Amino acid sequence: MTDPSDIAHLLRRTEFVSRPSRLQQLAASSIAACVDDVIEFGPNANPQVPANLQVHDSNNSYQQSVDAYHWWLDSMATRPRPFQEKMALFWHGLFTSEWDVVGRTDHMTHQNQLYRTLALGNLVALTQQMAIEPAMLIYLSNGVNVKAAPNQNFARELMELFLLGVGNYTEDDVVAAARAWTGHNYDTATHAYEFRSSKHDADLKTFFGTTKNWNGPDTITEILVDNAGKRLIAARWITRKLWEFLAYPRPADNIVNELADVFIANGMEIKPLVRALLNRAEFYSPDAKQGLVRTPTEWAVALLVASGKTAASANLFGLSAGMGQTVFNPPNVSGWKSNSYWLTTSALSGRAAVAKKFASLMRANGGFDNLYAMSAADSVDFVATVFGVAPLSAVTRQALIDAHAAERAASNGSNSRAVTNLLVMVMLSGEMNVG
Amino acid sequence: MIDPDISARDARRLLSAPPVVGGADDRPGPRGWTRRTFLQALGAGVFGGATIGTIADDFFGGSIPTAWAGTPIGPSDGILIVVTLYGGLDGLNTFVPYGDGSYYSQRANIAIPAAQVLAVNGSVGFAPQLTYLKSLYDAGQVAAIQGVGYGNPDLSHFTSMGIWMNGSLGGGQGGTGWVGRWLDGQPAATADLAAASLDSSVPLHMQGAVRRAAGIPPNGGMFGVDAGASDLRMYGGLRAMGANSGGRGALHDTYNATMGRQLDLAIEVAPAFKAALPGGGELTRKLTIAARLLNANIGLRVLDISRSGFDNHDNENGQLPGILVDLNAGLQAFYATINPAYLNRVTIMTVSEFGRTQASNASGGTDHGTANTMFVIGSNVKGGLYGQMPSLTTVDKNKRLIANVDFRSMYGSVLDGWLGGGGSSILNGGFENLNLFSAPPGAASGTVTPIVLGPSVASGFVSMTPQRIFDTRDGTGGRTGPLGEGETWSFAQAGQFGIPADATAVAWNLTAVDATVSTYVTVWPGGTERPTSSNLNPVPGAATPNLVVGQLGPAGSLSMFNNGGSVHLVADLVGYFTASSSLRLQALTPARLLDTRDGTGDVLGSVAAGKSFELKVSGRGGVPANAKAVVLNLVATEPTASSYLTMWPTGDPQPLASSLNMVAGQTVPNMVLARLGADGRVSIFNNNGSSHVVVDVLGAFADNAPGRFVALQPGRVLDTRDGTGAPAGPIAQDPLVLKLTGQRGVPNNGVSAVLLNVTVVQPTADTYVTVYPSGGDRPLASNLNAVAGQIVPNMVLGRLGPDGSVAIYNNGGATHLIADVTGYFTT
Repeated sequence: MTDPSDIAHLLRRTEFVSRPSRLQQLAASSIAACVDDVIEFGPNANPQVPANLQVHDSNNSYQQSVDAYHWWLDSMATRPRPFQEKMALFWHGLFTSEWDVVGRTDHMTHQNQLYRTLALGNLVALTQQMAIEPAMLIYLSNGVNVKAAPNQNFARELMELFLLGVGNYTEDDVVAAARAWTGHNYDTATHAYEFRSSKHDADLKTFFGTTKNWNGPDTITEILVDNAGKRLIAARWITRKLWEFLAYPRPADNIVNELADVFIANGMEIKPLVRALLNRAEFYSPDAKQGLVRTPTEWAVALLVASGKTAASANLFGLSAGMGQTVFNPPNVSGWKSNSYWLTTSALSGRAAVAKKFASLMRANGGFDNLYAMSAADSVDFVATVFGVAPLSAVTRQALIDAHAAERAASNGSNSRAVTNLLVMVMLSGEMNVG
Repeated sequence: MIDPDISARDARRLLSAPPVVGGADDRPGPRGWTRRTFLQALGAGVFGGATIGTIADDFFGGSIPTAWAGTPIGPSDGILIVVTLYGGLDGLNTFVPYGDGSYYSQRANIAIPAAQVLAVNGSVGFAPQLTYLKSLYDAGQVAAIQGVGYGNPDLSHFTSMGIWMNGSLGGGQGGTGWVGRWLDGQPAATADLAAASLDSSVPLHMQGAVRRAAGIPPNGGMFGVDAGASDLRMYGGLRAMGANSGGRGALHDTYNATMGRQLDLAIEVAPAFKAALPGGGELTRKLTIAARLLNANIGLRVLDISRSGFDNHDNENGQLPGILVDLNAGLQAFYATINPAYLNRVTIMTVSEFGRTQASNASGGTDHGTANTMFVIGSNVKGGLYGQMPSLTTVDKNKRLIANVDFRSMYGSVLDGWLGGGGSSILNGGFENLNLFSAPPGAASGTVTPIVLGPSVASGFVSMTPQRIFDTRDGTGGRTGPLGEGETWSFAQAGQFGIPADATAVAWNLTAVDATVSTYVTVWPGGTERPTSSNLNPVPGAATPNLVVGQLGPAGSLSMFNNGGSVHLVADLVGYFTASSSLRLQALTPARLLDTRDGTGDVLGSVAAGKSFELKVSGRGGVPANAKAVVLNLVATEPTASSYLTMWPTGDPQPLASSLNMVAGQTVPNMVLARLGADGRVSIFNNNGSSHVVVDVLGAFADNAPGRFVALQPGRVLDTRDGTGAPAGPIAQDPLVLKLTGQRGVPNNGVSAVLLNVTVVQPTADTYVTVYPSGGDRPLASNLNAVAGQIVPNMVLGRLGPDGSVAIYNNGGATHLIADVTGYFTT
């Protein structure tokens, strides 16, 4: 019999929330079977970006960015297999682009769809396609990288942030890679990728010790396929990023190395890597279960699931900046950080604003009035279950019971504010925000 | 070629994250932020290699403070306010090298005329909007550091701001900012709130290796500010959750500790957000909050505030002046708000990522530049010029200015002179000490800080039945006897006469009587520097009235100054402005509601002595049906005797007050703020002789109208005698277009109408003057009426045209005109 808390943990990390329905569905399954269920996206039925967000409307582009944000968060909250969106979020945070810099709805949603479609696909294919997405061409300047004026922006980040990490390439490799990527440009008339052979540097270049006429995509193939040493580094780089995204920071080397071996053995297919990762015992360790602060996005999605509300109804786009994370707009090319990065006084004030908004939405039309008839302790347990954080720690539970009882006692028989306060407090509890 | 640009907002957001700086390519990338070799130079340090993504885990360094509490600072601890101007401040149109002909030849389309520059010597001076900064400079409290920058300058917003924030050209200080490293060195007991950013994120310069500044949301509303009993019980519940370890690991406990800190901080900073904030721009609001935070004495030593909007690649003169208005007003607000006991402990420093090109572009803007003028301001700053204004003609390989003061020299001088030292270790090297301070923090200053109020809180109107609050002839209000030559008299009124303590401004009908010589009277906020403006121009033998709308000083008073001879003053209070009133202004193009000479308004024939009549106002001339009060221009014409008119709400008892005083045969105008009585009417009474009466409506106050009033320190925006605001010389019949946005406290945007005191000076013929929205048709209405040779002032509500200007039309002969702005109404 699988430990229910392990299934809950798996669901929380992969599907944002351990929905009661999913818990029930998987209760009798082995962990391996649970993992297989989570990573099988068939029930999502090949999701697409809404048609109106696939085109750029220059008269309405700000509203499009708002709508796209709300659509993506609602998608995270409502997909039958939310892990597809969670992985899209992973790739968005690694192979970053910023809406405010790219400035075009079509490019941002097209890149987003790539990350969705290839969420558990092949890393080589994903990287090759990512490199020539218009969003990336604009964001990291390869759109204007030409032989006469090489621009290193993309070539550098491809190695420094995306695939290898500092110390695993030389400055000469950056120069060579930048030259290799010349001519892989952005056509401002058609708003599309275009290879311009006249702008491409077809001379010999020395990249990772090999001198030839390197072309841009060759450099990705070299790193991820042909050069075994670089491939190993890249496999470990991606594996570590994924572990830190799903489990906890700073994993032991052996975890990363063993998973990277699986990754390589499977031809850089991401799905086998993820399957192996989610089946590791360390993934179910206390370090893992207590090892991550929920990002503002993950936390907000959990509120959407618990409340059944839409992102737009909670004005999440408008409130997201206060919490410190607006998807489609990472703070810079290195994406978002983790854990204490989110624990600033301003950012927690931002979460509180969202919690109060949701409490108000959830209380509308008599929501949670049923608590009036319950004891304080039962009320706390009920709300914790709604938010998927039952059972609470003893300290949290007692604090909530005491505060809820005190508010009831103070309000002379009207429990309305006491219930609203309880919702806010649970949303702002450690259980809801960490783990 | 305009530099490729990325908005300053993006720059700020990008730079609010763990940093990257450096780079050989000094050409800004077309898009995005380019990480360069700097990280490698750091080795695989905290952001490199395997630990990327987890640096933030180290922010609390394993020693999480158990309580986030402010500790009052010591009496000799210096306080620094860093004002970051994102986007690249155009130093050359801020601190203007007006003595350099090359400035005019290279910037023909945006140069500030020499006559408008607030000169500090024959070469340089402040932009005309920076009146208060200039007065601080004149008081010896501003170090203007010219030519600040660094070698091999980078023209990318991100890279250059990264360099400025990091306090390094790219070696050895990765991931941290210069203030953050100072914060790292503060004693643990005092470090909790020693630094804060008034921002939703904490930018790089405020992040150290083990500590970072607190983040205070700039709009207040921190969770924990609401203090109802139920709120407090909820906070208690949240704190109780963190009172003991949850047994769920360190992150859970850290989260709870941070939530507790957030609640503590919200309470600590709540006083700064409790009172309404002033109207005007972002810096005005933030500098007001800054002063309030310092007044709370919660341990802040460094406070970081910012605004963007300086990246003016085109139409710079449509943008920068309004932003400088904001900076100037913000400084006024700061010094008017700060507890005087802290004056000698506060220094303000400006920073910006770079200056702008000395040559303007064809779009009336400037592109990314290099060396810049920065200001260090404070009572203990040794005021004056530092560094050299860079040559505008001997430039670098990119045709940009060459810096002569390293920005780290400015930082080091402030760190060592004001923040307790450590400059060379924080900056990883010694830099020339500029000796910016005349005395250490807390030591007595040899200078006096001029106090000028900033903009008031945007307020609604409360109209009152006119009541006499003082009359120096009979002792009403406590004073008997005229104001003598050069005398200043202050009259406190907030909290009295029905004026609440939080009133921002009051409206009087002020009348000068029995002047012994021709003189002028100035009214301004009590307890502050007297401005160069005037409200009344009394002459012997006539009672001269004018409406005064004055911002109340810190003690709730208005001050009055009489320039010559002696004069009695009589004030009737007609209303006040307060943030809590919802009665706001709908500005109107002037329209005539009454003319007893031709029957307009259904009253035909002059008004006899002791007679009164009613005038329907609501629903006429654009006045909404629900208007509660109106702004009228009331004119007595062809009076047969010296007399006065009284206007009051129809249905109320007639008050003892005057709305206008006239002498036989003269046409006299006066602006009136009139509350509407029954059926939207006012009543008008003539005391003596008979007189024709003319009424024009200028605006209406109603509950759903848009315009809130922001009172300003009176400021002169026009004087045709000396070329202020328009070329010198009298005005004939061509309307004068007077630009008001971006002038003397009036912001660029969001202004519907301006309250002006307009004075006609010695017209060559009998005339009247009409003020109306620029670009519109001139209405049949008048604001001022003057006889040849007279000096006549009147308050005018000037609705702005789309270009932010009013048109001023003079009907006869030629006349000089003066206009002082005393406030504006929002849109």
